[in-house]
Amino acid sequence: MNIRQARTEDLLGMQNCNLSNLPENYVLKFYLYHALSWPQLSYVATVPTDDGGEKIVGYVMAKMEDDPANNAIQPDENDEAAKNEPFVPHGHITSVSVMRTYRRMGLAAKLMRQSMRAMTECFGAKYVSLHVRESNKAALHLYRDSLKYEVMKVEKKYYMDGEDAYAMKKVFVHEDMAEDDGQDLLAESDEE
Amino acid sequence: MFNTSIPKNRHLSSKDAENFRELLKFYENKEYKKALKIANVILKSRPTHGETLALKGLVISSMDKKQVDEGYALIKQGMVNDEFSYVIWHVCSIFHRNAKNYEEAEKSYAKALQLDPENMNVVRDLSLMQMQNRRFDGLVASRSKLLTKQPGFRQNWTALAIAQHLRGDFAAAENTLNMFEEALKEPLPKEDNENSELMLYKNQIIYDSGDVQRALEHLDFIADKVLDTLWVYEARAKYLLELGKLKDAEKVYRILIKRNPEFCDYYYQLERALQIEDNNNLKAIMYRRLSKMYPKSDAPRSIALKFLTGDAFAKVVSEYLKSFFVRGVPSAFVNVKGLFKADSEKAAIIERVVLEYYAELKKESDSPITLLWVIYFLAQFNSHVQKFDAALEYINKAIEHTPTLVELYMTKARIYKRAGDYAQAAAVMQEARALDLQDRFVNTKAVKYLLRAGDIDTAVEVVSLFTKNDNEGKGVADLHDMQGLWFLKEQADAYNNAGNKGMALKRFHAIEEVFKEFHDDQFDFHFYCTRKGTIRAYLDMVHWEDKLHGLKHYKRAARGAVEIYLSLYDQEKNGQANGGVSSVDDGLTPEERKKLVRKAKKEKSKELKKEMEQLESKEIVDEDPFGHKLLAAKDPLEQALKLWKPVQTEALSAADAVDAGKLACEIFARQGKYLLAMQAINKASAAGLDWVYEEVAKVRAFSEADEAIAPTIKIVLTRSLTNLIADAFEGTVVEWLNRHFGDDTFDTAEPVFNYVSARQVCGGEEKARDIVKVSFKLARLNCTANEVIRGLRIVEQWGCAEDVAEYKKLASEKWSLATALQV
Amino acid sequence: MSGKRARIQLDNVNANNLGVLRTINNAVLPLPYAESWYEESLTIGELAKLAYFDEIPVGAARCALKTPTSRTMPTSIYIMTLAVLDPYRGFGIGKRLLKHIIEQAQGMYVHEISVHVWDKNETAIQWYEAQGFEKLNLVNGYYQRMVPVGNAFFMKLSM
Repeated sequence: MNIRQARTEDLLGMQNCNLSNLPENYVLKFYLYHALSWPQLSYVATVPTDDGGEKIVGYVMAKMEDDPANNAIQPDENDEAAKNEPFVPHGHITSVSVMRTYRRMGLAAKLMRQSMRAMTECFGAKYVSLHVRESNKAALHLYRDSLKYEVMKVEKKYYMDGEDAYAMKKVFVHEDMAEDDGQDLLAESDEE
Repeated sequence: MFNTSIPKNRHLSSKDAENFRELLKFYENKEYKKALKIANVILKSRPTHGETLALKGLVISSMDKKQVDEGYALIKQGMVNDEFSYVIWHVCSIFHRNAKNYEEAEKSYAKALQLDPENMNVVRDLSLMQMQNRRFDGLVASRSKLLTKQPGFRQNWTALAIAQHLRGDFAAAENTLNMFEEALKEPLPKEDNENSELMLYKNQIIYDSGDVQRALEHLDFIADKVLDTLWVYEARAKYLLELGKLKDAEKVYRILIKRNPEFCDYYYQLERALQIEDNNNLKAIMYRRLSKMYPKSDAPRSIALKFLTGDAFAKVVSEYLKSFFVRGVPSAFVNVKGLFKADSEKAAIIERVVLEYYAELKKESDSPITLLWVIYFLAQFNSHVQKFDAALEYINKAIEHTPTLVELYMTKARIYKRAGDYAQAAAVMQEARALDLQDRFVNTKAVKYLLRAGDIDTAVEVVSLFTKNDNEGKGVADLHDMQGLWFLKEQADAYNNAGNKGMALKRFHAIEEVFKEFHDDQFDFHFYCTRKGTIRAYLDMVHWEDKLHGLKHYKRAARGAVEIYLSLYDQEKNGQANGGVSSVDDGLTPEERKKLVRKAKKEKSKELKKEMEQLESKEIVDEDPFGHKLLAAKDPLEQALKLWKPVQTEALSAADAVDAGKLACEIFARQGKYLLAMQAINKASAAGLDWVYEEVAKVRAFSEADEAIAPTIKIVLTRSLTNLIADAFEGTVVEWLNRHFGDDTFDTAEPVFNYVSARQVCGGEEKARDIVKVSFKLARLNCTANEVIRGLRIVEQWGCAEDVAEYKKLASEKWSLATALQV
Repeated sequence: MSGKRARIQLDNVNANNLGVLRTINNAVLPLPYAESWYEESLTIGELAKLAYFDEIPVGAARCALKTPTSRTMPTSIYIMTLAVLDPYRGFGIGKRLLKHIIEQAQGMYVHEISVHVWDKNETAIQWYEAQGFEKLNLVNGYYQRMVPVGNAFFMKLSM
């Protein structure tokens, strides 16, 4: 199992993973657009294949929302205060998926954490947003309980098949990525 | 914009000149109907006016794809009438660019530029074509020109540096970026992502130039001015390691592991920094410590499993697997499967520890989930080692325990598939799907299994539950639009298995088309990325595009199509030899063909009805709905070569390129290009590839049957074959082949198929006997169900009824579930 | 992973997972239900529910709202099926489903939940009693399609 930043050579595998798993699909150019606009934000989970290569079993594809007119979560009509808030740079999770046979290993959370850190480091994102199907209980649990996203609003008939979406958002808090404790990795002594 | 001295035939009256400007405006605003109208007004008074003719051509070709040829004819006509018009050449460039014919577009832009050398828009467009066509010398020239004219744009500096970098001129590229930095009055703020990218790009150039020390110094200098923290860490760690500064490298790799403890490569590099790659004891300590530091990470545990052996391995793997069973992780088996291949002892240890745990749980367990996943694991394990009866017993036990778990049915289906019962496999996968209709993953699996079982109609029904569907509720067109490579490939194989070569070819070519889209996709980014500044990612993309057709997705499709083309050629040739009666065999029975014809007629009348709508929506009519035109190709070998060539030129590695020589060799040998075939064989021989003998036999057989072979070629070929294999001409081809494929050669399925393939070409009285005899090896070999069934098909083709019965009898001892082998 | 999810989760019955309800019933109950009964399960909202244990569906309840035949009789919820796969009993999954049914009753101001239980199924009878159900009359020949014909106790929970 491997989790790493996505490269161009991964995009076909991401597209295949997406097409096999999810109803919302995209042509390769859309993946290229993400990879060539925000190369730091997409991650893949891979497993080794028999021929020595890697197979993509999960991915997160994300972007920055840098156009104020295209705020990912539009404030409520009657929330005047929110409407007047100045635009802040923020990320958006475009698509995330893990193959069914690789679930329960926490891959989606690990992928998203890497992507979210890159949003703050590289683009100064203050928060991240996403959409999730109302019926997708497992995903909702992941975003809300494990990754601490909040539901902002319900977007009616967001999906092509008419299902509603929760628009969710997570405000970033500064996290310090210091070094590890510096212990001698080869010392046998104080091991149990 | 226009030359001062306007030739007479180009000159327009002021009224027409006014109209011409309108025409340009309408074209640019995509108001084609208005543009066409006004073009006709001008042409009424000046029917031979070249620039108007050309522009009219561009307009009508933009209106409707069907008018492309007509439009191009007008442009050509315009050119004849006004040879030296810059406008016409520019129009012609745009026409080719719209048609995605970048080669022709580049030529036209170059010509337009000759006529109007100071036109910077044309220089920029030309540079995009040069980039698309990888003409780096021209690219540097064009971009230098742009920079000289417009040094105020950052993207012009970047663009030139990219061109120089791609040409391999690292010093010039670095120098360009230095000059840009000097030209800046004051440093740009850190928040400027574009600037951050540019500095990192410069660092990459320095590293690519080979000066690692200077790259490290430069990296230290820019580290606090750039935003891509991860890249800085990764580059620094790599540089330090390469420079032998191991202590420092260790520190940075440990930071990287802390940031992302799931990236195996960091751990491998850390081993190098600590100089313990070859010391398993120290590695064991390190991974134990790292596992403790990162208790939720898979990487340090799974890496340790690769080098640990014996009891130490047993202890770690047991803990590793138990943690999966307790948590109900479905991928427990696939996470350790990779260990078997390198070391069969590990497979035995794993089976032992899991069986022990299973016995424990059976005695006493308070967790039904844990027990369930253990049984599930044992089913997968037994399926993997081809003990299908045991595998089924376990999986049925698991299903009895928890009949609602989709994964169990998926595994049961897989067991049937591996055992050779494709229909049952598909039926069970459909059961899995019925438990979770919302899950597309299971839907995809069901479609794949249905296609493997040959049930193409049901597969299309099922896959269409998740696609945008046409009027008949089918999603096949959508899967083309969405570039669904897996579906196109699986459906092609299904058609091929059913003997419907026309449809198989059609789908293989559809994959080729998707790759053409992928290739065209890069075009817009040549401009976009220089503006956006994401150069490192852009270069990554450029290099990926350069090796596009070396990717396995393309290779598989191309191979499928090439094999069909080769068989078409062989059939045609054999047909001629047998009295000249040849017809395209699409593998259909007369009834099936009648049905198809009826269907085609029905489609035809529907087509007529749709035609008006399609004219409006510019939909492209499928002119070959069943692939019959593809089957009737006059030059199947040329078609094959066209598909296969890029697999060789864009191979991902040298080894891949050599291996791709096999299919090239097959084509060349049939085309009578024996020396080219020999080149491929020589390379393969140097690389020690198995297929050398097969191809040597074929080249000899084809050349000996070739009455038109030139004597000189024959001499060179003979010499080159004998150089390669001293006894290449001792005895007949058949004798030679049989000598080189002794009984001990056939230890896997591949040499059997290689022999059969070569033997088919060689002729001789014993041909059928030889083929059948060797194919019988498959019945007893360690191979897959697919291979043993392929063997059956060969025996059916070349043997008699008794042979077939005998083969089935032998093979079904091991493959009792394989339906094809049942008597 | 922080925010650990409770092991037992409930979810609605819908067209996409109807096969799960059928599979659980077929595995646990002595008699099969007709296809129309399953179709109808999609129309009764919260009165049909699936229970998941570690994300695996292992239990199901399917009730009906019984409207009274006379004015003196109260409206009640009738449990048509409540089944938990055998290996998953004793983890509180049935209880969790029953709790959901009780919550629905309360939401509808219904004060009575009833069920028929096969008289041979001692464990089930004891389980319902432990949940506060009262064992009432024995209905002879309640399971007509059973061989031999089975009897059932009518049990009731009053709130």
